[in-house]
Amino acid sequence: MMKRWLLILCFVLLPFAKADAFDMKEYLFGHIMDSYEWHITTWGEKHISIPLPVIIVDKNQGLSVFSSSRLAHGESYKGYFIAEEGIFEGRVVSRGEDGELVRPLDLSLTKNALAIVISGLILIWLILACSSWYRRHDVLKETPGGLAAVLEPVITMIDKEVIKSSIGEGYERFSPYLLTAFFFILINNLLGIVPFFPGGANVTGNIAVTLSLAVFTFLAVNLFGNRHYFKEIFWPDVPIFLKAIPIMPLIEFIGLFTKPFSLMVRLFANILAGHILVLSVIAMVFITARLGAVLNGSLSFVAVLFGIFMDCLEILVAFIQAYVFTMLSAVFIGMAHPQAHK
Amino acid sequence: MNLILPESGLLFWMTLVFAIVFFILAKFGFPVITRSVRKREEFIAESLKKAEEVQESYARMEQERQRMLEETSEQQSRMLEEAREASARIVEQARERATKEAEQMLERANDEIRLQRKEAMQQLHNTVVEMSVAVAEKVLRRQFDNKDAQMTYIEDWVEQQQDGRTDAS
Repeated sequence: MMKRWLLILCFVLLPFAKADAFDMKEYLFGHIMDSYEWHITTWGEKHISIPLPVIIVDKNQGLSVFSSSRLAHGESYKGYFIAEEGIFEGRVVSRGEDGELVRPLDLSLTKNALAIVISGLILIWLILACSSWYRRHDVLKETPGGLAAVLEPVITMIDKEVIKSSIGEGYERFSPYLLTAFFFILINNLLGIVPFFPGGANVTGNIAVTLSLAVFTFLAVNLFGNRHYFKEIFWPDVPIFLKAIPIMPLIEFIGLFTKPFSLMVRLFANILAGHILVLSVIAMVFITARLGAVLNGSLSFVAVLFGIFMDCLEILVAFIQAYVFTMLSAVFIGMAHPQAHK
Repeated sequence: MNLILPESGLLFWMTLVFAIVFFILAKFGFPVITRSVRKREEFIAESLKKAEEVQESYARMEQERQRMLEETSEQQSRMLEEAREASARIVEQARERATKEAEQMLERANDEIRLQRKEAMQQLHNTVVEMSVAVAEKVLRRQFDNKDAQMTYIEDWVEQQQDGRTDAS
């Protein structure tokens, strides 16, 4: 039954598949990269998108805020335009005095930034709605209902199984940060799978986002590390010649940064790869559009099946990556709180 | 390639939003939830411990009760046994005493009888002697020629005596 519906869906969608040359690069990067407007869909020749504010700080013009629709289709505004190629491709630039492209400080509320704001609001609403249940009810007399009943097992699981078991004593101090990180990543991962507004932005598959998260973890680890932790780094228990020429301290010091770096890359690469995989599978529908109805139809059918499979996998990955990021952050924090051993 | 270069604008927004979200949730969100859950967990653990203690003390009490019950029934049977023994002993003693008393009374009665008989015999003896003397006196006073008359006389006299005695007694 399901298969038949998919087949019908494929053939219904066929006329919409453009028969002209399919630009894979534009398709792929259009979906996984950040942009100044939120492209919803293209209906025939008409692009439907939400214009977002462009915020530029420049030495010459100071702060300028304007709608991204003023930069659409290669237009320029106040000397700013979107670079078509080069290292600043897709970014707002202006032309310098001697003609080369100059990148101003760009604080635009881009598609990803807006997605972050939306998911942040959703997250705040979810958790505050949940916590308000606990404020209004006596937890010793009632079992949680509604939202609290859904979120409590997840929060408890992360709090106990991940945070407590990784950090150990004194974990309560770090559990709000780690829980925030977990739910922030999870909600963005999940929204990233939803193909339409307000989902579909590749937030956690963006290096800037994961960099920011990794920096937060880095701070959480190193700002609260105890005496023993820093002694292990700068004066570890190794033979003196390894410390005289500071080989071990150097390695340990680099280790400080590789840990959050690995967090950054892991989340980024996993989510990006997932998006690219789903997009590639779906791209089969458009690529085969020129090969005739039969081939296109059958391959579209396969593509949709694979797409469903990949999306299910991505839901799993969304959870796993949020879990792994939280767990590793907790482990790193736990390592920064060694009990005085021996 | 822009893909692996962090964009400063997005970095700014991300850091700002995440910091705000973290601040709000760390202040009003997660601690409330985790604290409540921990509180409930502690409460449950405590309740379980308490329940176990209660059960233990109940089992102890039950044991105590059982022991007391057994003790009581044992005591009861012992007391019953003792009472039975005591009653048997009392009955036995009473019987013995009764027998002894009866024997004593019998003996005393026998003694009395013997004594009385002895007295009676003595009296009889005395009487016979007196009577013999009296008869002899009478006989001697009469003539001994008529033997038959003598015998008749004696017999009459004896009879007379006897009647008189019975009248006298």
